[in-house]
Amino acid sequence: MTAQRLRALLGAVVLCALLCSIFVFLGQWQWRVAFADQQRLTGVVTSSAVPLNKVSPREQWLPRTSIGALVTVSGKFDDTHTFITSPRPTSQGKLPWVVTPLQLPDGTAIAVVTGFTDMPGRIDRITAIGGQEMTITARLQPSDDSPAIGNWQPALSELSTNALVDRWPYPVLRDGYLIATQSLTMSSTAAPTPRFTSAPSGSIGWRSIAYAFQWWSFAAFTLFVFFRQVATRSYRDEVAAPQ
Amino acid sequence: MGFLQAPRGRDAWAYGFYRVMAYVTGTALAVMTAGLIAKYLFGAHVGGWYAAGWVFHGYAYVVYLAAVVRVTIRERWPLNQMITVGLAGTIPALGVIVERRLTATRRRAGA
Repeated sequence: MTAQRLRALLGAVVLCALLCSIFVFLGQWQWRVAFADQQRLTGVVTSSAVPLNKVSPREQWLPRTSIGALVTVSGKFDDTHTFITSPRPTSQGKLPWVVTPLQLPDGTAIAVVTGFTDMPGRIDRITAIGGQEMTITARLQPSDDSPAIGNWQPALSELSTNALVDRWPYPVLRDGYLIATQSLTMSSTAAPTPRFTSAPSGSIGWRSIAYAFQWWSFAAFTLFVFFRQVATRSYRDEVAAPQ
Repeated sequence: MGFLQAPRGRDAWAYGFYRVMAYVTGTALAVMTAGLIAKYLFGAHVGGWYAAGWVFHGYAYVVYLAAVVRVTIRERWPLNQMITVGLAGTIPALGVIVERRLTATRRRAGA
């Protein structure tokens, strides 16, 4: 093999390895995206619940490793600042979530998804759960991206820490939000009664899975072309050698 | 287009399959690009077909690449032509334009 051929082969190996690495990496990324929603709702921490402060220290961004953690937290709900979101995934399809701030003894507050309703227009029917000290168990969730300016009414479409800081009066708001493991919000006895379910369900992103296999097929395609080309060149060399 | 060469071999089936896939991916890409512009430039509401359409186009493109490789092997295309024709499928309309030019080149060569 001549030096020129060797250089060409080395270049082809490097290019093939680079392309395959990129395609495999992109496939793995899409695969993680596909299961991220389900994982954060079912939890990456499957052991028993831990105190909130242990996994989400005060005045710090929520660590990635804490997403989905099952936590216990004590405090008082502030019903006066309850609001509903626009429809989001639940175990009964997309429904507006009911979000109430929980004021902690250390002076901070955190958003808690206390239930969901199929009657978003009747938020007045959601009665008080606040006033008394409560201990709840909940899943820790990351903040959504910030909403577009003016995207507030009639319901908040994003559960963003930045948006909640502007909306709520508490001096320190903790990053992210909690999803209570069971519905805490109670409805008024007056009809009509809003209906609540227990917990949202995470869905698998089938589109992301399809994209993941697509990237991996590109990697396989690159390998095929590489080996095909090397085999063709080798064959030509063999044929040319006796001459 | 100077990079498109008359084939050194002939395989009507492999070339025909490549042509079909060029039109399938080209049409899918054109439709999805129109949807993309409608969604992000004009704020139009696009339905579930939009997400499914991109997935379809992705897999159609994989088959398109396989068709290009097959015709490359059968008709002994040069490597740079295979890469050029393969990449042309990622740009709206270009895949079809390249196919038209390639077919014209073949016809002139008496294919």
